[in-house]
Amino acid sequence: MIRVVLQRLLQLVLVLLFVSFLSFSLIQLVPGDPVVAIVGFASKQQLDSVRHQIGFDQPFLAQYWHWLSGFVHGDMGSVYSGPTGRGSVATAIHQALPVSLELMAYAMVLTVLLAIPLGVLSAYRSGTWTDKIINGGAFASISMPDFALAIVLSYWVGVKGGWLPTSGYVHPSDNLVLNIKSLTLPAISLAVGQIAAYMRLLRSDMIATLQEDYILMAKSKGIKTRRVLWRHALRPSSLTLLTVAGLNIGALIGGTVVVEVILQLPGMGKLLYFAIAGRQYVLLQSIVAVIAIFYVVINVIVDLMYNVLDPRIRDARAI
Amino acid sequence: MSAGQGEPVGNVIRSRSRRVSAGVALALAMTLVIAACGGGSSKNSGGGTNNSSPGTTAGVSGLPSDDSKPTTGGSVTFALEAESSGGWCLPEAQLAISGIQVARAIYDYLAVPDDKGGYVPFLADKITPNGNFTTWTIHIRSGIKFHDNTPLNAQVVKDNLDAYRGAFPRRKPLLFVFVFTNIKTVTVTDPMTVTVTMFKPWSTFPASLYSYGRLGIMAEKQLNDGANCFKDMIGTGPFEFKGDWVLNDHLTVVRNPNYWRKDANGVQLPYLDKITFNPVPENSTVINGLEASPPQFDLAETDVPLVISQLEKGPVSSGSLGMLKSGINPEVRYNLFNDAKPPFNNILARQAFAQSINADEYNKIANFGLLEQAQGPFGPGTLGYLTNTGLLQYDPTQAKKLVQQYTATTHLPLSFTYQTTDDPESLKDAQLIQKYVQNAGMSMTIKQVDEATLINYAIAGTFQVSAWRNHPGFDPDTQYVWWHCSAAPAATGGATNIGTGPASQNGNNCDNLVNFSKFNDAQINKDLDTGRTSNDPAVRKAAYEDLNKEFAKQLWEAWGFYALWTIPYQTNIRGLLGPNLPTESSTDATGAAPFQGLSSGNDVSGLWIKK
Amino acid sequence: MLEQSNDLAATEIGGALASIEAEVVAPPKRRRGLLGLSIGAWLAIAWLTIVVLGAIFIPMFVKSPEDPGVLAGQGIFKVSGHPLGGDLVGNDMLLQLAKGARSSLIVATGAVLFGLIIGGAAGLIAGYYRRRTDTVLTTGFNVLLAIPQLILAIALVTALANDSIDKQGIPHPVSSGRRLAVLVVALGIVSIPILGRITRANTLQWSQREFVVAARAQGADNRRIMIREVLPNVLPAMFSIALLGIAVAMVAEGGLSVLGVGVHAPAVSWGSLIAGARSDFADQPHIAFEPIICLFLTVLSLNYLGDTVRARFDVRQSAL
Repeated sequence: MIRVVLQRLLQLVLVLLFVSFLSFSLIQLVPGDPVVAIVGFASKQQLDSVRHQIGFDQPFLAQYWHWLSGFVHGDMGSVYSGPTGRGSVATAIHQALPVSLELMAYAMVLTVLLAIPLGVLSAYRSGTWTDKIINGGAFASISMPDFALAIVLSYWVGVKGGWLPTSGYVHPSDNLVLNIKSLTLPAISLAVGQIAAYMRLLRSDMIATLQEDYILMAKSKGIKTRRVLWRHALRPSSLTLLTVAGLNIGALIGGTVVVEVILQLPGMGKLLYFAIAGRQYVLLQSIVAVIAIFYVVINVIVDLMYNVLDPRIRDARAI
Repeated sequence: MSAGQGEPVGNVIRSRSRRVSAGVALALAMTLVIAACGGGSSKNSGGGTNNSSPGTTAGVSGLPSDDSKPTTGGSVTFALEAESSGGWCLPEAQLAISGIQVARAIYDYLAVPDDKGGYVPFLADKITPNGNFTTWTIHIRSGIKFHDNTPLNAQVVKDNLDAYRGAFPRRKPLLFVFVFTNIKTVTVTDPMTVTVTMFKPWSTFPASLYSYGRLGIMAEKQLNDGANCFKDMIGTGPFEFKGDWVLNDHLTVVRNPNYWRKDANGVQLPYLDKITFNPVPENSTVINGLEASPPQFDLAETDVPLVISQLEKGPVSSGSLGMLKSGINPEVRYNLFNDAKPPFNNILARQAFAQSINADEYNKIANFGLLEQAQGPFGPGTLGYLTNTGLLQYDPTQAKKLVQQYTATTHLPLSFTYQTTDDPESLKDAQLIQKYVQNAGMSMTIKQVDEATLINYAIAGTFQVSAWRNHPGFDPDTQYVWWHCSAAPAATGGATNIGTGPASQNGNNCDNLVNFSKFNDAQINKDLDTGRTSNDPAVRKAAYEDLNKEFAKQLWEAWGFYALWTIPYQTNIRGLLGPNLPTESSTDATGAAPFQGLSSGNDVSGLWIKK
Repeated sequence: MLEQSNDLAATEIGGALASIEAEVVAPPKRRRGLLGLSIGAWLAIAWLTIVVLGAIFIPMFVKSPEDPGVLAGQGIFKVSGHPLGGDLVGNDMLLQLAKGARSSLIVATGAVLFGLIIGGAAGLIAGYYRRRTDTVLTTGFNVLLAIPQLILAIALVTALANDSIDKQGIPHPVSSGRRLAVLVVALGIVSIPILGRITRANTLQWSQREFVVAARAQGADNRRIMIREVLPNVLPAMFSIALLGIAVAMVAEGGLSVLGVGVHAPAVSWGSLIAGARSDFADQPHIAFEPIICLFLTVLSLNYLGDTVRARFDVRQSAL
């Protein structure tokens, strides 16, 4: 077990180094003087001083090392605005990350709350009209891109219905109810596709499980159907769900980024958008690194949970 | 010009200020002429008109009609177009309207505009020139303190002026330096008096002491602050900044309990306890925030036609939201030509471009029919404004002919890249222009970049035509810095001949770094100098009208539309334009009415909430 | 087996591909119909044919009115001769949708072909030769997979699509052709690991079949076996994945457009139409809804067909 954890941690570090190195190098390919793009109208001295501060006047590897050592210490450099404006990258990320995390968590909660019951229901009622409708709906949902859904919901719920705000974000510390409301449309947009995917997976898994002998035995013992469904049939499927969960994180991250831009939430997505368009390369590197860390960490956790939950692996690797 | 100070983190693309405003111009918006008020003779008493009648509201519509007594207390939220991520180190900042709005809460100015187009001493009580306008004496009001309790005196004022003109060691302004090149010396002649001498006569100097609200007077501490000048703001204004600034989220200012101004009844200003500024570049968020109940924003400031039109159709027409609207002394939205490089160094190309665009239709589609077509850089209310400058109008057949003529004489197709900011609204506007020019036979590609880069390209001259915004009203002398070239134009300069080939026809030997179009027009240079040195209103009017017509004739720029500024407000907000101005002898609001327009924001010291 | 299901489950980007797993264990449903295909499959094929034909032919025959004012902001059925209405600057929406179809199809199909050729080849080799080759290639896949797909795509597009600078120093945007090529390559690279892993998983299974073992025992050349015996059997699965992959790539391009790194004006894609409409759709919803419906139906059709193909040729089911 420990070995697995260490192995994964090593993987994390390697991947991070690779990803950051990659993004660093790609930035070098962009034409023109990046400092001019970042700072705007300024005198040569101001440009040179910013250049020195960012480290663009140093050789490539030195720059990379400089950035990496700073990042590890939490110093992620500055966001530049004009010759004198400086914002802290760390602060910007510090403000944006919780918004994205809250949105993703909200979307995951909705997903779990809806996908599991729907999956169980349609597995139990497999072949009936209920099943066909749910399955069909799920299939359609997978085909709807989350940013398109965001716009559609925005129009029907926000503009026509007026029940939920279509953009903007309220801090939880200011008003928790409004905060939840401002995240509801985006969360639903993200969750719908996820719900469909998980639900279908769960359904097929459970249909197979329900055909197993031990289920028949449980029922013949007189255990209530509901209990059979939830306690006995659901458990083996949890592994598959977990696998897909870990793998879907990438999709969730991508979806979150795009939905944030469309529905104007001040999270990592918008920050990324700004960093790209504003040529804020220092900011961009840190955003990429943070997202990559998050992605890999989640995958590591999923992997570890897999090891814990799956009796076959656990037994095989008895350590 | 409003700021190219980059995008606020996370919000840039969605900035509602779609065109690049020459924020750089801030520094440059200096020289405003002290105009006619107080008698047009050479001596300017500096005391303003001293008239106590309430100002006319001709310049602005939508004021609440209510004369009840102001109540003190309360706080408001104010939605601004964009974040000023460059901060408020005023000599170095490149502030747009959003930044100016915040600056006006924290800082005061030596002189401010009144409702008659003149300038009234504000932090000063007297601003007097000598006979030929080469020496100006500024006498400071006594008893005014900065937010850190240091006194306002001549030394501080001198240091501020030196900082703006690049003579103060700690500060490195770039654009303001150009504005103040005419200043020879700034000296403290007694503890409350500063004397400024000029190289050449400058009759409109006090206008630059306002500079559209960019020349705020800062405390010594902020002036001397190296790294944190941009965020540790200390002024003398009605509100104090206590450090609460979360980038792209909010900035709050609280009541200054020792503010030096009082209202007409002697009640201490300001009325409000707190103002929270929120940068909100997204149109839908502003609209939703104003319409929500309870409202998220008490006030907003916008010139985006989409927002204005949606609000007007909705809550404003049903009476649940007020909206101040002002079209006077506006800035102009236009297309900035590079007159030194092909194709627009050829007047045929400029004419073809101008005549291919159906301005009326464009106005309807892109601006919801809200804006007035610009005939030149001067808008309504600004000296030099003309409703007909002879500017070539939409004529698609003529445009096609000009394109053919261009190709025939240069043996090149008329094609170019159009630069604009990267938000969907700007793209839409650019695509509309693209359709029109393509109809005439030109080919255009669109390049979208962030504001900072757009300004850089303009400065470097690496552009052909850019979407642009600049030249806010007030005195036309403030535009001197954008257009004047001191180096003599080359032999072919000031050309009026049409269609003589691709070579540069404007003799651009222009030494002016911020004349982005790089034209060097002898007539315009002359008119600018006349306007600056004379203080005869008739002479100045003639000069600027001549300048306006010359612009139209040479088409150095493709003028578009005058901006329309609005302040939507909740119906319980009052005091929107601010109290009357102080007089020479009294800090009570018994002097002239303040400027009745919105092109440099509004004075927040008079805001109050009606219960 | 665990590893295999891991690999197969490794077809993610968006729940679309996860649906593959959903059908794997389900009892096979043989649908009878014309040529063995259900009505749904025929509808899907019909829609895709309409889209492809429309993309090719509509831009040849439909033109936007010269005067933008005629169609600007006009809704559905408001202007005669232009039933789908106009966009905000007066272009005919039908034309825009057709042009968008062109870009979306080119980018999506190109990316998947790119990914299939490179990733597919890599996966085939890895699955067939196994041992060290497999480890190396799989590590390569894993490394690419470790980067969130969106980030990788953005980074690649930003780096590769640079402006050209003329003699006067004036930057001009890259041609739309070049931009499309960059998108194909970027999304292609992103899809390599996934397509590679699926191909590898399928190859692994097929390589263990008796006839392959027999052929090897007879001393046949490895490369020949791989190409002659294994590849043809792996192809159906790859075809099914290709269909799903095209759907995913279309959506991905849409996401890139929203972020400003998709196709550039004047070229349009369905994604860029949706992205461009996002601030004005309250007034003119049709500008956003028309491309959304097109994208939805296309993705739905591709998903359905992909599923159908896979259900037909699924190896594991016949092994049950």
